[in-house]
Amino acid sequence: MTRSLRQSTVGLHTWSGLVIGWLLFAMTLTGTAAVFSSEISAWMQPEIAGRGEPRQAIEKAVAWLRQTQPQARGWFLASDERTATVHALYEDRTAPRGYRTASFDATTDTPVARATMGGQFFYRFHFELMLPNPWGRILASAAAMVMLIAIISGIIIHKRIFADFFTLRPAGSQRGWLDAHNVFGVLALPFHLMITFTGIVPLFKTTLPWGIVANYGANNATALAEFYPSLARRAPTGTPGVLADIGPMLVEAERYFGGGRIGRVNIAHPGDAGSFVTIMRNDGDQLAYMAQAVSFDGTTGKLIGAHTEDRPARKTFDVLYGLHIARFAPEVSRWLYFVCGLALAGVIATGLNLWLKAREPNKGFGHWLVARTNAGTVVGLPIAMLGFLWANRLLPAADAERSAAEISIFFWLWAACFLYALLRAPRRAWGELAIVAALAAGLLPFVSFALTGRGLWQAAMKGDWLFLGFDLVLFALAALGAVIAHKAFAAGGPVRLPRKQGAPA
Amino acid sequence: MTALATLPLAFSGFALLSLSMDRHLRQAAVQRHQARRPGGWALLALSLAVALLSGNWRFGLVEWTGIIAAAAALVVLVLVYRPRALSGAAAAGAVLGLVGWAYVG
Repeated sequence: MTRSLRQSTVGLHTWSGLVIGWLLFAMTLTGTAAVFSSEISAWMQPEIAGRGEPRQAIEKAVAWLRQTQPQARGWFLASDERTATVHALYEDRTAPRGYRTASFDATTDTPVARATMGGQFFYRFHFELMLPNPWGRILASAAAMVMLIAIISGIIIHKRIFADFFTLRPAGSQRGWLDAHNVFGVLALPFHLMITFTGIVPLFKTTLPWGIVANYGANNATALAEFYPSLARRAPTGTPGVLADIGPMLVEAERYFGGGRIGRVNIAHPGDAGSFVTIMRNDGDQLAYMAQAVSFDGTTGKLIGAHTEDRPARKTFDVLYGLHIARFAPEVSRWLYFVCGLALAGVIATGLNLWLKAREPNKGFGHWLVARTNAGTVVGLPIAMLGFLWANRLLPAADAERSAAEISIFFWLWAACFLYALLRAPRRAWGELAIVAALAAGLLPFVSFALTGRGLWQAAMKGDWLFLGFDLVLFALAALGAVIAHKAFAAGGPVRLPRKQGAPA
Repeated sequence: MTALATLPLAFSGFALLSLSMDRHLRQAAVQRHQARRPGGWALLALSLAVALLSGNWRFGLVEWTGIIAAAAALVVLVLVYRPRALSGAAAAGAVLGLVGWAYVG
């Protein structure tokens, strides 16, 4: 019984993993980068030093918006305390996407930082794939569900999960690849299961809309209002009004949060007499995401509503969501999320490679295609991500539409890597693309230092941990690229063990 | 920085567990010993306890699940590159973990 279950599961694991492997690799790697989304954003806006208190930065942002954007329908401020920066988003009909962003710290009177999506690009790509809504989310959810199937079927078919727990034989054989696949998978298995499951949950409105439809019918607004009671709603009155001072509202909100800090501030129709301000608690001091909020009347500054989430189902959802996006995570936990995310990317990359190894020698079209797509994804995507960072440094800082250009460069580079991988023999493509990646990562700290004056020894001397850490990670990636290139070229004369029985298990 | 205690303790625990397995005994060139398996589990349990007892247990639990992955990966790396150093590293890890516990706890 167990045998037949295992055998039939092998096919499920192999094919579910192959079909979505490339997409999952892209989601995993960008998601792993998004663990440091705040830090990437800060690196991509070197004009902001991130000095001073977050609350002062909020006040600076509101003061600037009040002067320059009084007619906007809303201002949405996100306070990022890890980088002591406030990112403001406001409506602007002249912008290609209908809105613009500006970033502030406590010393910013007029925002000067270059326009960029920053780490938010990796975060959005991770679950929306830059496809039109809702298709990106549907595809990402489907991929995550298949990944859960792949993980669980992988546990079932692993014959010796405990006996091989610590086993890694780094030979260039199929055995070595299988060991690596298993070690990456098994050692961080709790993380992989957690991150996959909690990744499916937040998109439930896309994947399981029927509960909402059955209870609320077409009235989506009611469903939203009950799901997020913390978000006050009020139509503009049409008569102009003056927004009260934001400072006292921030103080009162902090008092309501009982020591919790300010996370986000939404100000609706700020130039209208019916304006209102909603302040949400920072996600950094609790597992749950968005658990408390208070609302104030915009013109009087009086409290008009307060909400602490205590509905069990909603709290469960908030904690699952919070576990996935890891806004709570203190430094050590954050690095562990990053490392375990890389391990998951490693599981997928080694799994894709195993599919090939188990079928060698093979001259079929499927083998041809998979070998090239692997190279185009596993090395091509990191090159595109690094290219996004290069574009941030090389494009003129003053260009208003540079943010979109950075994203275009990401996609063009990825496409170019794919094309290159299609045209070259896979081993050469692997080696050459890995050299490109290693150079892109290894040279970026120097280029960045030349253009911004932040980074390298300067960062070490001044205790600029953000730039220092960024440079070190880039150097580590360069080393990894060099190792991959070396292995790809060294594997020229294949010394293979005789093939083991059947498919990987 | 609870990790200063939980990581070495978990490393030491996993190292002892691996040294209770025949294959890794041969790699590390050490004699079999009955106490390693319970000792390994005990050290893992101790690292969990330290993680839960230091401040916010919810954060501690999440961090610990990452810590054990990192600790086990370190054991795997030592077994690949310096297998004979593993038993010494296990002892050092236990001492370091206890010192770290005294320091952070």
